[in-house]
Amino acid sequence: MGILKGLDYLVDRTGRVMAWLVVLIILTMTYEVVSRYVFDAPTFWSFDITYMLGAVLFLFSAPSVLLHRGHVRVDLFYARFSTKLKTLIDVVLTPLLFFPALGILTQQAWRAAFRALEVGETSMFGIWEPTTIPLRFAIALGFSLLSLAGICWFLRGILLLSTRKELAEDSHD
Amino acid sequence: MIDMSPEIIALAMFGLLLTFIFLGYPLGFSLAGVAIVVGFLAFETRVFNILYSQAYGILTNYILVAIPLFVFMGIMIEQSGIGKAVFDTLEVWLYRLRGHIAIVVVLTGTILAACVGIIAASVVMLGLVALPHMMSRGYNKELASGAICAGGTLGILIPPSIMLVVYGPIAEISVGKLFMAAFGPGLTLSALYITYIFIITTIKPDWAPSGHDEAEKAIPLRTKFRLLFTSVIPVAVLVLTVLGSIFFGVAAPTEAAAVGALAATLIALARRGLTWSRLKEVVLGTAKITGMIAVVAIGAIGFVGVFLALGGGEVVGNFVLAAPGGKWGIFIIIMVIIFILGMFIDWLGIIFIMVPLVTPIAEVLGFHELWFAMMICVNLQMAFMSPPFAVAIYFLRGITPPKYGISTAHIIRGVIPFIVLIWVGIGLMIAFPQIVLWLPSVMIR
Repeated sequence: MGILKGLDYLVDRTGRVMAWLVVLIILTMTYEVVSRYVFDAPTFWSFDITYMLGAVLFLFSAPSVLLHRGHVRVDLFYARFSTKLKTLIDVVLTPLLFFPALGILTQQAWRAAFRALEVGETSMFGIWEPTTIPLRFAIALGFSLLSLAGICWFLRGILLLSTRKELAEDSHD
Repeated sequence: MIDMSPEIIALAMFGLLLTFIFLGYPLGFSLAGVAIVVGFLAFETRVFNILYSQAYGILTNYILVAIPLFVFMGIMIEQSGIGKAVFDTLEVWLYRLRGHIAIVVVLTGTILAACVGIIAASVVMLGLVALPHMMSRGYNKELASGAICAGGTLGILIPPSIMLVVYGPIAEISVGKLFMAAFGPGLTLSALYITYIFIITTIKPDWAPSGHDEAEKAIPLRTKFRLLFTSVIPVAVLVLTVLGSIFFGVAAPTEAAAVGALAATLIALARRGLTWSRLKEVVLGTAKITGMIAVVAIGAIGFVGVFLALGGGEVVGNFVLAAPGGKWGIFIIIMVIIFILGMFIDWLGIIFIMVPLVTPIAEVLGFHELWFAMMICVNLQMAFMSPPFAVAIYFLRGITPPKYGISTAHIIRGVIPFIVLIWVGIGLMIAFPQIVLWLPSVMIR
């Protein structure tokens, strides 16, 4: 339980820090627009930096969604289920759906990251063609964090079902 | 490869998906899970790399970066409290009109729609600000709640809408063109709502007791102008800058979104000062919605990829194209399917899953891609308001204090006239496609 709390904290903290990337994106893009129109000097890096930061922001925002139960769900029936049944559904379906999907995505992401490192992969879009190695590794880390958040989510469910009482799981909200 | 007809595989994939999501399992993980399991059975380990490449592709999409930026802009505007100021200002200016509060609700919804492209936020804001006001005046409950739902859902359509940012890359249409195309339909609906409110309150004056406040009358013109310049004008400038830069080809939608987000921050700063904790709230709120969208996007892109690779696209195509009634019969079938799905499933899932499937069909039938996209978006907007499961109704229900005695039944009766008006709007867009197509046709670039 202590470990679970610690992992939850790690997921939550990482999400909170990475959320600030949106401010960085706003500032770099505004810089590009200003330097293009006011100083007639477009940057060569804006395009690549934007989608790279965007990818990291998108992916690192996902794990905390699991923590805060912010998912898109069809709650037509779900909303009427008891907490126990809700937890049971999540606990039964997670090994069937979440683990295979995220397991594969994480494994493939690490593979792609090491392959990028090996061949010195560069971006194919845009004119700058920077290295994609940091991005590939960031994505691998992001998928790992999402998997980790999923494992915690699953274990919390098991714990809830076995102890039959509400844990302090909603304390994050 | 397993030996099954594409029809059975297509049915199985959708059957599994619907089972999991109706059990309430998160949409994104249901999509990803079905994709990986069915994909593995069909293509074995080859599917792994395909799914990763698709996830990588959607994550690194330059256009989609506009989503967190527009979300940031919307939450920032919401936080700045300018929504209430816009409402108050319009009310002071229009108080002589019959049914003016309901009309102001729709107008505020229209103006805010342009910056807060999130339905929940608009419905909640309008509900909190306008409902107490209308109830204390003795407005008809149905009219009051209908106007809030209708005004609040405009945000999903009127640009810069997040739904259109997602739609563009999925259907391979320029987001800028979609924005311009959505102007006509959005304003048409808004005008229809306002006309309806005006007519119905003229016929039934007791639905909207006027009760001109002496206080409102006494407001000097100078104050009225000051209100205008501190609320409606800044928002209008913000929106026109963002959309204008896209229209004139000065900036890509993603860049326009970034500048808009910065401008919204400045507005918030000027209005009530931007504290560190408020900025943090906006940043975290943005991340929350971004994460939600990311999960669905990754799952859906994998699901659709596997579905299409297994021949599901042709199955859907053959099924839909076999519908009677020619081009328009097929059109109606597509719209009905999307409408029904839209009543249960978040628009995000529908855009990601259905648009790749129906866009090729529309192309075969010879519908203009922008026009067809707008029909889907207006249709989805209607789905958000349609009982019994409409999201707009639930959001409003959630913030209505019991003392007003507004039941879900009141809200449902209230939205029905507005749903009929959306039908009228759809009819107008079918009869006069120029409502959609004119603005994009004169756009630069």
